[in-house]
Amino acid sequence: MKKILLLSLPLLLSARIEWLNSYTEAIKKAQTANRPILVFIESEYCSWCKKMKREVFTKTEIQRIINGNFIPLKLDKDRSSYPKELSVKLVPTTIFLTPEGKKFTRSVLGYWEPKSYGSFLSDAIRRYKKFSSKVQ
Amino acid sequence: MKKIALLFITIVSIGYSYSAKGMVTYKKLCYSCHGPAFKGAAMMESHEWRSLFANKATGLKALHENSQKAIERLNSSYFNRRAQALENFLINNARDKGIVRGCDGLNCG
Repeated sequence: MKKILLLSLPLLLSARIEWLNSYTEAIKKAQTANRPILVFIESEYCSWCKKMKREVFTKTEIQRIINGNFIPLKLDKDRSSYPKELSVKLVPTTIFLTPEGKKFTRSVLGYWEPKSYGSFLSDAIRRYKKFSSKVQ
Repeated sequence: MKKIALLFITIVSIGYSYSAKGMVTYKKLCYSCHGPAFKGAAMMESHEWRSLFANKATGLKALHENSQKAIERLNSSYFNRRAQALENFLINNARDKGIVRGCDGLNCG
């Protein structure tokens, strides 16, 4: 049984991204899990956001990084309710927040292909580790 | 007419190779830690790249002081020879300069 669980761990980690849609719920979950939040802000009219969802968030490597390190939150720029600190001029924008809801690194503006986006995610993970070790 | 066309092609190709030189330098020195070239350039704004490269890249070296591998690369003669080309590439494709593939409400670029 243990072996099966261990073997299926990589598959579980790379499963599709379970996006949350509520900011408050994401904060609660992040505080419980002690993980940073990845906020993906999109809009209905935005073709680049659709391309990102189709070509980036479907990649196993990206799913593995997000599921293993972040609490994923997807917000609609015009319809969702969120603090005004998260207001953006451009979509898609990816914002990284601490479990307390503070930005700890620069956001990712626009569409990026999987390799570059993955590199931005790795930078954010590194930055968060540094940031949280300083706070403690 | 032919001469003008030839001159134009020469200028364009020199310009192209100049920016390509910066990109090649990035790939050799920075890619392994910072990922693809345009992503790497988009990590900073153009004025930040300018200040990091000022005074023989003092700021850039200070920023990498915890990485021995990076410091070795930044002190190499290869970096010294190509620092200007790398700086130009990074500035031209910085966070505030490069093309952002997104929508701002009016149009999707």
